[in-house]
Parts: sequence; structure tokens; C-alpha cells
Amino acid sequence: MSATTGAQGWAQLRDWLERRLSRNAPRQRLTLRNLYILPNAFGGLWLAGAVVLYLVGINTSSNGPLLLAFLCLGLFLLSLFLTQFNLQGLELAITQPSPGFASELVAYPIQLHSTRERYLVRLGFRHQPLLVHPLVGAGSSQLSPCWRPSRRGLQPPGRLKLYSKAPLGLFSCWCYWEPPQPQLIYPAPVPGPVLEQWQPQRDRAGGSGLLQGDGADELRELSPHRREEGLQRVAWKQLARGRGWQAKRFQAEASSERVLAPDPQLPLERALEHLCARVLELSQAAEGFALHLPCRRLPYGSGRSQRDAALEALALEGQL
Amino acid sequence: MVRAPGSIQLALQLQAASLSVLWLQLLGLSQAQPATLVALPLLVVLRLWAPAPLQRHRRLWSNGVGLLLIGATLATTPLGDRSLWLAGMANLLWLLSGCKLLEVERPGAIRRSGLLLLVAIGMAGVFGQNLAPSLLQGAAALLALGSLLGLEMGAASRSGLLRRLLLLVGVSLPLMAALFVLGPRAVPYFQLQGGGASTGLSDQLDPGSIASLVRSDGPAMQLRFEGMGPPPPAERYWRVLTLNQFDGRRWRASPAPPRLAPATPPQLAGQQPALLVLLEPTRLRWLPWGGSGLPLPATVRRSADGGLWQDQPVRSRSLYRLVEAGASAEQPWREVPPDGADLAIPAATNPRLLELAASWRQLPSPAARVGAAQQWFLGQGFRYTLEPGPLPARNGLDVFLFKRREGFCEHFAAAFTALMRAANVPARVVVGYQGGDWVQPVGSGAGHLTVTQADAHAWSEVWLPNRGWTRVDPTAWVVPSRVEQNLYESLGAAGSSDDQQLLRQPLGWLQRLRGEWEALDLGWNLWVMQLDQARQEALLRQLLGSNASRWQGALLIASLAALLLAALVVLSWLQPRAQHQRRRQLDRCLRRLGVTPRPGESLQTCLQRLKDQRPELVAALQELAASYSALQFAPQAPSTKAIALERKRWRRTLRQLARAPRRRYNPSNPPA
Repeated sequence: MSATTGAQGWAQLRDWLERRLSRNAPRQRLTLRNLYILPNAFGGLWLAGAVVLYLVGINTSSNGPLLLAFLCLGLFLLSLFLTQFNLQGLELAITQPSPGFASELVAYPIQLHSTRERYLVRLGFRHQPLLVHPLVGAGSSQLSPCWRPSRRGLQPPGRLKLYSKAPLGLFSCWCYWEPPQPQLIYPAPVPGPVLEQWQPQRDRAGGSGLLQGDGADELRELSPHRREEGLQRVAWKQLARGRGWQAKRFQAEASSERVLAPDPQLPLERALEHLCARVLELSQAAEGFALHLPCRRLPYGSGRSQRDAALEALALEGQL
Repeated sequence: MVRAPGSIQLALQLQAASLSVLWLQLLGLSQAQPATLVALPLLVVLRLWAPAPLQRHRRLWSNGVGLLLIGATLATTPLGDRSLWLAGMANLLWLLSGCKLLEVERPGAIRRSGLLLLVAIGMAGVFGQNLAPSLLQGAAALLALGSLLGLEMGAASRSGLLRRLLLLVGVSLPLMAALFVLGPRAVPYFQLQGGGASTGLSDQLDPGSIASLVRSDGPAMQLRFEGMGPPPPAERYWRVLTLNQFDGRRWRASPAPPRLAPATPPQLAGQQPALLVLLEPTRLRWLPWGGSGLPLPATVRRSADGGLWQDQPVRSRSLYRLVEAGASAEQPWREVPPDGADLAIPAATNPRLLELAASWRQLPSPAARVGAAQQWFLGQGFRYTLEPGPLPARNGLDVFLFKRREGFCEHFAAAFTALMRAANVPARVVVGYQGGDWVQPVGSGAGHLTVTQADAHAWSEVWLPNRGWTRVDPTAWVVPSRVEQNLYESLGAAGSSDDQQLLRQPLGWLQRLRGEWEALDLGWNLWVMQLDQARQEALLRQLLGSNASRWQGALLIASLAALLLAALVVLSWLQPRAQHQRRRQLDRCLRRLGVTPRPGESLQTCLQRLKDQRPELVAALQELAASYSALQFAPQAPSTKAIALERKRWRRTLRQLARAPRRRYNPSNPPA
């Protein structure tokens, strides 16, 4: 019985702490109310050192160690305030983060406003690597701590901890802040099987009569020849007329569009990761594609904007 | 982890510099073992310039070196003797801090290494307490603190670091002083003795022992006279030991425990005139004094034979005072009558001496016998020299008196005392110091008397029935200048200019400079280094009245709070440079008028917003912008006169805008 209430109490405490710690205003000014400060392990060691010096001074009746012990104590008292002041008055604000891929390190920029210089500031998201910034200048500056998102979608980076130990490393002063601006996270690009289909241009709306590969032989147009296309497609006639290397494009291929879709054999998340890799690959090769996902469809297109739209669609599939 | 690449390197360099300064200070300490003195610079060199193959396995080999050194130190540390044990531990700590510095690479470890360095510096403070070592220790501590600061300062420049360091330490010095004066002093629960004497008087008088001592020229003590003047040169006799056992060759102190007068009650330490003595470490339990005054602290007591006795040998520098309070001007030990031991003289030695003394026995009074001896000494043409050569073990005094007729003060004192005993006058030898250099520093008022080992001296005391124990200095008969001037002059006067070469006599201006330094050193020692619990209480009583101890805690906390506040105010004043200050002035002015610069907004656009709202201020705002740009972003440094004019314009515009009415409420431009 008592164990249950104990557990409940603990859970309540944790909830309260979570509520207290998760401040998620878009702009956060660091004040006495949201900064925490405690001596760290080195601060404890420092005090122990001062006590040793004091005892040595007392027991040998020599004032040199005593003076040093008192200097250490004085610096300890002073740095309690200086460490706090190093962060107090700093203002954190969100900016628009650029998208990143899941399970890669993604920078999440944060705007800092300060009226004066601040010494070494460390910041990092919970369970994420730490960014050590040597000197925050007066005015506005941008810091980009990194995090490794595990899932795709519009993901909040979690709780940011910003802390400082300046000037002597005796105290840690920190604050928590949850930036409310989520970051668009694409699926992790993992090469693998995707469902790749060809859809005739005229049937784009209908969705029937899918053609696989290039079977028809009606010549439609010529385009500059690329070495990968081999000799079979070279328009020899045109070459003989001195019009340079051209490749023949046939009706079936040119009039159909590449359509990417998740492989139905695989779980959706895995299939989306493979699609992501394929989208990147195709964009790299400057080829066009359309994307058919269970919840949304992206019309045919190519180029950077198509890539971004496709990645965004992959990121948000099933989420909105 | 991204860190300014130079900051770790800078921190390491600063710690290496700190260790080097500590090493410099250790060079002057007798407690530093040769192994430490050799190893520390090697460790510093290895830290800074280790060859590449060593860099790779730094942890491994630095631990190996450390273990080796620690083993060597432990093996050579005698664990039995407490004072040597402390020195051994200190050596260990110095070596450890060097080894730690060798292995550290990460910021956390560098921080701990800095702390270890601070403790090691504090340990050096146990042994080196004079001004010069203290200054070196302070410099070393400053460098160690600088390394800690450098780790957290980020990409700051060296001059910025230095400035910040001096500021930080500067504002915490008052805190340190408050803790030092008001802070509680625990009672030592076990006594560790710091120092140890290298030279000094011993408790027996061998012929030739003082002559070798005076060449060492080490410091003996410093005396400050509070509320009274120094005695004339001829009266500057500082007695230490009374020797009354004579075996025909050497004089010794009585092995019996001394008969001691009761301790002085501490409340006497008031406004009475007093003699302050700052004594260098000696091997004796006997302290020098002039023969009068009540000794304080209570551990120092007067003995029946005119000595000043302390129950512990004075192994480290110590301070005591002799209060001249009314009745104490008398010298009760002079009235203690002699016993048979003060007449004892072995009958089988020095026959010619005994024969000479026997001829004086028929003189009616002891004073007349002393007079006869004086006449005899003056008539024999004795020579005063530092190098009389060794006397034979048998009948040595006979050889001195009747054959060689040259000697140093201990020869004269020993021979005269033996003559007096043989002439049936109770007599004894007193060993101590005679003279001292009066040092009057330029500027500050109080001078002091510096006594060195070169002032070591021996003289006699005879018992005269109606005067008690009376000082007789046979050396002064032979060479009066020894007492009136100093040893160096007297050797010249006695024609022993060869002997002068044996003494180190610094040049005139160097001596003056040394005097100044000694005065500073004495002040440092009196007011800082020797402020023990008793003196702290006396000081507090003086400052706060009789119930000082009741308010001590509250006063300490209040003064700490006040000083912390003052320190923070000073730091925030000094923090912004002129440019930042101007920016803050601008911000304040604009805020007051109703706009806050937006992030990334230029001054012109910000002012434009303001001009739209407050058209009446356009002229002043243009002036403000022009002045601000000229002062902050001048393309090249204009002349100082132009800068001064520009500053004037800036201040004038600010004042003008400050007089403008505050902004009216304008819902279209809410304050950010």
C-alpha cells in the first residue's frame, strides 16, 4: 500500500518536475527564475583543497597556506555569482531550422541575444552531443547544437540544456528550454528495393495501362547522346549527316513517367527509407519521377524543388 | 566537442610557468630535497617539449616517472621525525603536482592539476614565509588560477586573460583579508614544525665556534621597539644562554632543568611599551632578550639565571614580545645569588691561569679583582682576530693568555670568566648577540634593529655583592669598537684587515636597499605572517572593544556580504569597454524614446522607425547617428583632439535626447 503511494508520489514529483523544466516559449530570457546553479564535482574538490590548506596552515602555525585557503574560499564565493551572471540576461529564440535526415546529426540553430560578452557556454539537447561555444559576443549570434533524430516527420528536438562553468569551473549554472519549433526530418536514406513503375503520359490521370521498360519502337525525338546509353541508341543517320552524337528516344519511354511507390512487401517505414535513398539517387542523376504514397501523391517533376517536395512528402507520410 | 584550440595549450603553459615559479621559490628552501629540485624542471621541460614518440604514450610513461620519483622520495624520507616527515610529505606533493601536470590532457584533468598545484604552493608557504618567497608563491598561485580561468575564457586573448585574472583576484583579496582577520582559527590538534635552523648558537662554547658562526652572516632576529627608543649601541646586548659549567676547556649550560618564573598574564598586552622580537629558527629553546621585560605569549618564561625559555625549540620563525610594564623594568634574575657551581674550576688544568688569579685573591673586593684583570688584559697587547688557530686540548686557556695572545670574543670571555672563578669571584659566561644594525626605512616611520649571526658574541657576568650579577665584556677592553660599532669595523680597528675579507660586507647602497627590503619583510612578517590566534584576538579587541568574540561571527558574515557586493559592483563597472558602454547608452536612450533595436536591424533603419513616430526629434537623432558612427566605426584613428570633440558631441546629444519627453503610447509599435 505504502509502496504504491510512494511510487505515486514519485510519479507526481516527476510530472511536476517535467512541467517545471519544460518551458517552451518561442523566446526564453534567462533570469533568476529559470537558471539553476550548484557547485559541481570540481567545486567540491576545490573546497576540500581549501580545507586541506587551512588545516596545514593551522597546524604548522604558518599563515601562507591560510591566506591561500582564504583566497580559494573568497574565489569560491565570488564565482557563485559570476557563474550565474555569465548566463543571466541571455535571450534564446527559435529560428526556422533547415530539414535533416533521421539518424544523422542535424543542426538545430538557436538565436542568442546578449547585451554583453559571455564566456564559454555549453549547450546540447537531452542525450545528444554537446556544443561548446567559446565566447558569445555582444549582440545577436546563432549557435547550432546538433541532435540525432531517430524518426522522420516534424520532430521537436527535445529539451535543450544550456550551461556554463565560467569563470573557474567551480559551479555549473544551467537552464532548460524546449524550443517549440519542430524540425522537418526526412527518413534515413537506406538503399533498397522500391516499386518503380512507368506510367504513360496520357494515362497519367487514369492510372491504367502501365508499361514496364521500353518496348515500343516508334521514334519520337532525338536527344544528346550519353555514353551510358551504349551504341544501340545512337542515331547513326544524324551522325553521318554531321549533326553530332544523338540518341534516339522512343515513344513508349518518352511518353511514360517514372513513378516511385513503396514496396508493398516491406513495412512502410523501411519502404519509405528505401524510397528516400532512391529519390536522392534520381535527383543526383537529374531524372524526373512521380511519387505515389498511400496517403499522398506527388505529380511528375524533376530538379531540386521536386526532390525537396518528395522528401517532405516522405517525411510527412501518414502524419498529417 | 568544439573548444578553442588554444585554450588547453594556454592552460598547460600557464601551469608549467606556475610550477617553474614554485621551483624558483623552492631553490631557497632547505627543506626541498635535491631530487625535487632536479625533477621539477625536467618535468616542466617534458610537459612542454616532449618528443613525438613520447607524446603518444604520455599517460603510461608519466605514471612510470611519477611512481619512480615518489618511491625515491619516500625512501629518503625519515618517517620518525615529525618535522622531517612534514618536509618529506611536502616534497612528495611538489613532485606529484609536477607528475600530474605531465599526464593531463583533458580540461577536467587540467583543472584538477591546477588545484593540486595550488595546494603544493600552499605547502611551500609553510616553509618559506618571508616576503620574497611569499611574493613568488603569490605569483605561482596567480599563474595556476590563470590556467583555470583560461579554460573557461574561451577564445580570449592573453592580455584579456591577464586583465580578467587580475580583476578577479583583485576583488577577492578583500574577501581573503576579511576571512584572515575575522575568520575563526581552529586550535591546532597536532603540531607540525615547519622549519629548522641551519646555523645559530649552540648550547656550549667551544673555542672557535662563534668565530665560524659570524662568517655565516645569516639573519638572527629583528627587533622593533614599540613606545620606546632603541638602546644605545654599547647597551645592545641580547643574552641567550648562560653557561656556568667549565671543564677546563669548554663552557656548557647546566643540564638541570631551568627554574622558571610564572608565566605573564596575557592581559598585559596593552598599550605599554614593548620590544617585539621576530626570531629566525634556532636549535635552542632559549630566546634572545635584553634581560628586562615581561615575555608574551605565555609559553615564553624567564628563568632564574637570566634566560628566556620556551618549552619547544624554535624551529620556525616566531614572534614574541617583552612588555616593559612598571615593575618589570627590574631584572629579578640579577638578584639570584650564586651557588657553588658558579665558583667551580678544575684544579688540574691551566696552571698559569690559576697562578695569575691567585695573585688577585688578596685584593679586598670582587670589584677590585675585576679591575686588576682589566688592567692585566689591557697591558698584555692582545690581538682581536677571527682566525686565532685551534688551541690545544690541554691547558688551552694558558696558551691563549700567555703565549699566543690573539683570539676572538669567546676566548676573551672564557679566559676572563675562568680567571674570575679562580680569583674567587662567582662568574659565568653569557652567549648571545651584541649590536645590530638600525634600519630606518625611507618614508614609513618605524625603524627596526636587525641582528645577524655576524653579531654573535660571548661575554661574562660576575657576582658583585651589592650589585648582583654584573656584565663584564673583556672583548670591549681589548677592542672597544666591537661594542660601539660592529664586528667588521672592529676587525679593521684591531689591525686584522685580512680577517675582514672573511666576512661578507655588502656595498653601501646595496646595504641600504637590503635595509629597505628588510623593513618591508619585517612588516609582512609582523602583520601578516605572524598573526596568530592570540594576536588576532588582541587586534579584534582593539578594533571592537572587549566583547569582540561575541560579534566576530556576525561581523565576518556581514563584511563578507558587503565585500562580495562591492566586488560584483566593481566587476560589472569594469567589464564593459568604452565601445560597449556607448552601445548601452545608445540602447538606453532609444528604449526611453520608445524603440528597441530589432535583431539584425541597422542603426539607420531603427532610427527611421523612431523618426516616423517622433518627427520633432529628427535633427537630434541624425546628430546621434553621426556621432555614434564616428566614434564606433572611424575608418582610421583620428587625432585625440578630434576624438575628444566627437565625445563631447555624443554626450551633448544624449543629454538633449534625455530631456525629450518619453514616448507617447503608440499601439502600432508595441515594445518588444
